Order: sequence, then C-alpha cells, then structure tokens
Amino acid sequence: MKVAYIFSTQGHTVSYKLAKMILPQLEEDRHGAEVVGMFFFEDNCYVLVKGDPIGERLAAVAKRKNILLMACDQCCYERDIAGKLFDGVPIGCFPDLYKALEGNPPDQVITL
Amino acid sequence: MAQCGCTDTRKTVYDYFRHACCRVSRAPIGSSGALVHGDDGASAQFVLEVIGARITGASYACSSCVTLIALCEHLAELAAGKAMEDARRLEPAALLRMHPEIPPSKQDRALLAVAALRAALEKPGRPGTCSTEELKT
Repeated sequence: MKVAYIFSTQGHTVSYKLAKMILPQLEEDRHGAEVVGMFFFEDNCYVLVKGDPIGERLAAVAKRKNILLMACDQCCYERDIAGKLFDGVPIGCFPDLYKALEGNPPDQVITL
Repeated sequence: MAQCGCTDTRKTVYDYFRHACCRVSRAPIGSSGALVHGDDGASAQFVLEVIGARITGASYACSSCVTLIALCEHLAELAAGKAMEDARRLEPAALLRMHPEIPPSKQDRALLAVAALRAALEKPGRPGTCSTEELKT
C-alpha cells in the first residue's frame, strides 16, 4: 500500500510521530507501507530547514526511497524559511502536491 | 515587515500577500489587459488606470497562489504612479532580486506577473501566455 502523510497539526507531530515512529521505521525498512510523499503545514515546516537534525535524516531517507517532501508555501513565507529548505525540497500548495504525486499516487492520504 | 527592532524593513512576499488579503478591494476602473496563463494553468490579469501616459492606479486578479498574489501586489504598487514607458521596463529578474526568499521552484511566478502587467500595457484583450522557458533567457 502506498501512503502520503500530511503533517497538519501542531504539538508533537514532528518530534514524536515523525521522528520517533515513522522516520526510524523508514530508516530500518520496516514501516509497513510505501511512503510516496510527505507534506508539511505550519510549524511542522521547520523540520525541512537545512541543518535540522531530524530533517537531515528525513531528507536522506526520502532521497533513498524516492519520497516527495514538500512544504506549504504560505507557511514557509510567513516563517521566512521558504529559501532555507533542504536542497530539492519544494514549497507549494495543493495543485503542486497533486501534480508532484500524479506519477506515483498514494492509495491512502493520512493526516497527522 | 519586520517588527522585531531589526533594521530590515524590506517588505517580503508574505507582507505583500497579507496586504493583498487584508485590504479592501475596490472595483477596478480602467483598461483591462489580457488574461495571461502560466505553464501550470495559473493566471493573472491586470487592470490599469491611465491618465495621459501615466499609470494612476493598478489592480489585478490572479490565481490563488501565495507567491503570485504577492508578486502581483508588489507589481501593482510599483506600477502605480509610473509612466507607462517606465512600467514596461519592469523585469521579472528585478522583481526576484527584491524577493530573494522566493525559491527556484516558484520563480516562474515573477514571469507570469510581469507578463500580465505587460499585457495590460499593450492593447487590451489580446490572449496572453507565458512560458517558464522565457525566464531562463
């Protein structure tokens, strides 16, 4: 099964659900589903800023597994991080996300 | 705009976007340019109020994209008060230099915004298109 994650809520969405559950499982090839994309909203976008240690690991595993990473453009401009993301990580909105995933669409979209 | 006490008073993409969202729009009066489409289907159209050879007001309608809205807002601000000849010289590259925060994946929005302004400066009603290929030249 192919899945895409949308990190929408605040709190421990990135520090716990992504960093302590999804990411280690992906690194160990035992997540149980093929992740084709991850989209980040609001403060969750900070994980994609160059230098973030969780983001470093995420960018590496995304490159190895061909996982699309994308951050909400409006969220990034508001936080002045639009030009500071890991190389190859675009900003965008829903049309960009759908277009990026159309060649490898998920079966399920999971909002966290 | 920075409110933190630092000296950077440059208006960012987000400042222009917020301004566009918060201000009260009035019905545009003037000469409407062609609706210009970008490669991905996004579009923009300017309406210019011109007295003599001077632009006295500029308004626009565009697709719902934060980068495009901000750049159209900025262009409208830049165009207002300018002679039409000077407005024609506004370049996408110059607009992007004012907004280094725009990443490469969204820089084609500057081309679309400027193409829409130029369409309004030319004969209105002509169909317009722009290609991101032009940005690379």
